[in-house]
Amino acid sequence: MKTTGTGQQTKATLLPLRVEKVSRSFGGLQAVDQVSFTLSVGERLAILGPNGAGKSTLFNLVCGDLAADSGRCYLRGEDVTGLPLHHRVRRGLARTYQTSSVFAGLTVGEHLMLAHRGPEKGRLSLWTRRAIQSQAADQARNLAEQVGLEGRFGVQGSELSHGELRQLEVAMALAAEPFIILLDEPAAGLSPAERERLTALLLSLQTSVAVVLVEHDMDVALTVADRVIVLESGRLIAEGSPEEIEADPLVRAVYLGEQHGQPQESAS
Amino acid sequence: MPASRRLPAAGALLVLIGAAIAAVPALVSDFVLLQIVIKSLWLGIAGTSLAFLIGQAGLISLAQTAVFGASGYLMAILVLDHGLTIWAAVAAAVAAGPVAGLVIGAISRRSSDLYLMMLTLAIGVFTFFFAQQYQPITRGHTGFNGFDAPLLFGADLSERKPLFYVSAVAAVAVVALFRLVMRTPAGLAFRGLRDNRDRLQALGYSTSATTISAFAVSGFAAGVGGVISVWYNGAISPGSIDITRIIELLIVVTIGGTIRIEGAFLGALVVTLLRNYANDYTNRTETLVGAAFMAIVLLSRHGLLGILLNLKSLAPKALRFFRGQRMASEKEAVA
Repeated sequence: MKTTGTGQQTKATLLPLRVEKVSRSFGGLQAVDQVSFTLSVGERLAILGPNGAGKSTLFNLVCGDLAADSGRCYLRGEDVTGLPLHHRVRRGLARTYQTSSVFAGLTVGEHLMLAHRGPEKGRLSLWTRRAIQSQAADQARNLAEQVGLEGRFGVQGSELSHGELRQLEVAMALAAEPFIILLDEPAAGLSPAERERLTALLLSLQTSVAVVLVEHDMDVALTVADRVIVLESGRLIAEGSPEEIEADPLVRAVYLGEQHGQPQESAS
Repeated sequence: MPASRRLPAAGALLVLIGAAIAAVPALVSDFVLLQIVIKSLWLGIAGTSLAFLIGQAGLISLAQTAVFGASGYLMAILVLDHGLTIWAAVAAAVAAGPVAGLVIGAISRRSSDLYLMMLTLAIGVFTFFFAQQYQPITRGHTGFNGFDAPLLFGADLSERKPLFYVSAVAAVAVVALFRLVMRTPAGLAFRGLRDNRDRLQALGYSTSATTISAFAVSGFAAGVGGVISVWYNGAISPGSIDITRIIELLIVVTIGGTIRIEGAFLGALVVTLLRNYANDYTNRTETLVGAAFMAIVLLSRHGLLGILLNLKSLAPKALRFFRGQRMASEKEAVA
């Protein structure tokens, strides 16, 4: 792996993500315009912005689902700008989808095994090594328990409820043991109780994992995030702690003011 | 802990299958053994390769006859034109199956659904025309005749019973191999490909590599089917892999059902029975095969196997229903 800067850094201390002046336009629309930000080890970053601000586009540029027109993207110091999603996943990035996207015919356990092997070399192995297999199965079982899917381990994807699908999305991202997780509106369509549970889960994540969160739900976003960046019309207009962002008059004008009549309570 | 319990169960199953295989020649006439049973076996073996691709990986391929033909032709060419010993040729032909699958997979690795069907149809038809027109290698439209099936431990495989036993053992081996593959990481990835290509990619898998791998695995069965068909017919010609054979294989797996690869044998049996016996009642055999195909597609999403599995799951449901009725009437009595 290519390292930039000091050669003595170990993998675990390298900057998980560095985005440099990425831009992307669709036809005449500049969806993301020269956005730069970094993410340090274990940091929780929320990307906020009104509808159409370019959050999802930025998200897809970072994970490789979209190609950037210009700018660069580094994972742990390695330039991954031209790499497609599955190659970034193999390097330790995991993402979830805003609309749950699962495998109808696979059980919850199989989803987690599949996700767990994704970054590994043996993902298409035609040989089953029992020890590794049972270890992966145990890990999958623990993970199912962790996200609240215990007792649903053998249930097929097509039989899960909306809330369970959201939990499975997060569990699949965790199963790959990534160093950076990108969550695309994980709380979309959840009930208040389910939101609380999700928030607790996100707060309980190991600090070795960095999290990027695109979230409409302010409670979830501001509770979980250490740092917030705010986009508007594709440009980064503010950056800071959740408290600073909430207090920022510009941000309140473009975003918070529209969404909520009054300032939100923040748990942190 | 499940492994120790599974082992005796698997042993018992093997003994049962072995006994059933041993009993078949005594139970059916020589005609039925040759014309129905053995033919259904090799057609079914070839069918499992397509049933696996469709049912496990969601890849509808019309090029499995090309793999079937590649193996069959290779064996015939090596023995009849190059004087290779028969078993060396058989080994080469069986190995050619996965290789041909690999090549087809590599060509169609980026396609799915309708485009995959069109692309593999082109490969299947191309292979037919190659066999028919490239005389120096394939002997053109006459193909290879007078191929003698080999001897195995002194038993002549051109005779019914030995050929039946070998075909039956090959069928069991092919099914067992597929079932083993389904339990491997690759097997899980195949099902991921079937259910949601994009999501599989988002988990770090290359859909191209997964597609190629699925085609290679499936090629093994098509190759084995091709080899046994040449022993059975004593010949292989372009007619063995023409468009009607491509459709026949598709009909076999559709009638049988693709939720389990074993469905291919059921489908092969039905098609073979219709082809043989419908003649006694009508001379519109193909119409009848087509009608059976349509009837089963309309009745069941998973072919005959789907109907059978439904019956199996219906029995406990019916039992529960009646028990529920009884409990309800008891409750009423109490009230």
